[in-house]
Amino acid sequence: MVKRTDGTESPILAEDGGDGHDKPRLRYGELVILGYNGYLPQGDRGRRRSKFVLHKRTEASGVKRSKHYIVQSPQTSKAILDANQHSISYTLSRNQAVIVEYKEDTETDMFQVGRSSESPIDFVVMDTLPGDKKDAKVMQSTISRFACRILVNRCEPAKARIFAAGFDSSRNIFLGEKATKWQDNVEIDGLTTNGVLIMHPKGSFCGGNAKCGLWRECSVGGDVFSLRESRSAQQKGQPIYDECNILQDGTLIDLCGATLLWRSAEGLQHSPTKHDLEKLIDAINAGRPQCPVGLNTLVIPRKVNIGDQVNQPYVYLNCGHVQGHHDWGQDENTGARRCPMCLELGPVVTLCMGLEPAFYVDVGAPTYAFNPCGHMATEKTVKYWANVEIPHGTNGFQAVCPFCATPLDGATGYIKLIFQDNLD
Amino acid sequence: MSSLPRRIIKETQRLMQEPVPGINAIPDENNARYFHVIVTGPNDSPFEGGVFKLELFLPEDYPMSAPKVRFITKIYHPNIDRLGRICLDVLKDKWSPALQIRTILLSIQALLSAPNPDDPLANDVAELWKVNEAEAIRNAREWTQKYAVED
Repeated sequence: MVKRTDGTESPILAEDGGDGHDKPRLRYGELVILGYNGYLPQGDRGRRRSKFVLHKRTEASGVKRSKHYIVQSPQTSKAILDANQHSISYTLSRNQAVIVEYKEDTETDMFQVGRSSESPIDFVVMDTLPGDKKDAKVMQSTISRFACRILVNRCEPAKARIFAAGFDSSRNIFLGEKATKWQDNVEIDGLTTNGVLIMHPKGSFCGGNAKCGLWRECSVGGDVFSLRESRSAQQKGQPIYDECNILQDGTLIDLCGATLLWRSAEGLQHSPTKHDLEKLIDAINAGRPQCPVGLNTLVIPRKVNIGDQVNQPYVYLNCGHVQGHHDWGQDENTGARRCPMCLELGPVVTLCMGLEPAFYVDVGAPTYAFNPCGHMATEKTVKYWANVEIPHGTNGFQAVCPFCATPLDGATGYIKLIFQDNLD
Repeated sequence: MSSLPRRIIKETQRLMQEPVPGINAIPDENNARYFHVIVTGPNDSPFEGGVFKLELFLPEDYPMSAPKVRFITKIYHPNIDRLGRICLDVLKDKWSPALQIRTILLSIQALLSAPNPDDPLANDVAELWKVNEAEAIRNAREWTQKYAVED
């Protein structure tokens, strides 16, 4: 194989340089950030986007463990100083560190995820804010700059393994003195400060019959553990031997501040495309849903169109009736509204389509919506995500809408939509 | 005059195009919010054979508030008084903007089939309806013949 000529070569060039003239590259899968409805609010740009497609590299980019040794001063060791040498340094004490060298692996491709905009990061992920707080400034990010890496077997793309921590611009990973680490008879391993958590769904993501699995933590060496007491507790969890770090379709990856969904190439073949979702919207609009108050035809927008008030549909969250904009039935104290169709009192929200196809567990009419944000999707999709617990804070969990990350409300977290059709 | 809300235009068009059986509602030539209404007495009711004239007016904030509806033809009914005012929940606290002219008129027609003497507007009529229903029904039939049937 051809060695890299110098350390400044960007692994991204092969990705960004690709245009229509390249032959189609094999797709390993996709990483999609929960909380975005098809793109970032400010628009996808370069490596900072809501979704990252993992394509097979032209040349193998993976690395594998080579040798390890103890040094007194890791900063001056040969492996650390060599910008072409991948290595992980585990600081045990002020005067002792274990360095694990990594060598090139012709059988795997490596992809790295983190908050850093430096070139080793293939997918730049910033903290996700729920719902309409997307514009708020993040006080202090909790996502590691080099959060995790994924190594995909080039010959067996279904084997995509996730590891905590990523290599920096000098191809180094440092676990400081305070980081959780341990050494068994042979290998040394550790955890990142806030951890990389994974949750494999129980059952097949496609089809919508899977259940939420247990959240686990993945180590720097790729082993799987139960959760620590809290996000950055010193004591690691128990080893989980019957689970592993191979990503399956629908696996969730939580980086403390953002949650990613892994969709395998095979799973995506059974999922809707963006075009499919647009056809579903067209089908609903072709049925000419009506506002029973204004007697006007409602139009479900493909994008959230703040301007067009008259035709914008709203849903009453306690009953599911869909109507246009009007002022009747407003409770002056609570802001709740009484539904003209059934006189039920409750909140009202704008209806909009969930447009990120990766979040769909099946293909079909969007007859349900998340409560309280109003994102529409298929029944199975909505019910699936209403039962998925997403890490929240240092040790909590909550179900959220995947399209906007709003925590779900009400007994179920969703509502069945009731349209008035074809009244014209 | 102010422009007519789209909903009223649409309702009026639909009333013209798809009439409700037994109900006729025509907008006034000079006031598109004022409707001349005819409701025929339901079969198998003491009002059968009668043709009852009503007036219906859509207030400024319709459909946020209910239409004003009144019988012009005299009618012997426990829920309709001598001035033609109608005691019907959907015209008052149970009004909803999802209701329409057609549904209101259908509700009034249904009220003729099912008088409710326990929620009266005409107390004397309601009283008789409770103590001597046969005589009350006979009175209703006589009033229908006298006031609601063209000779």
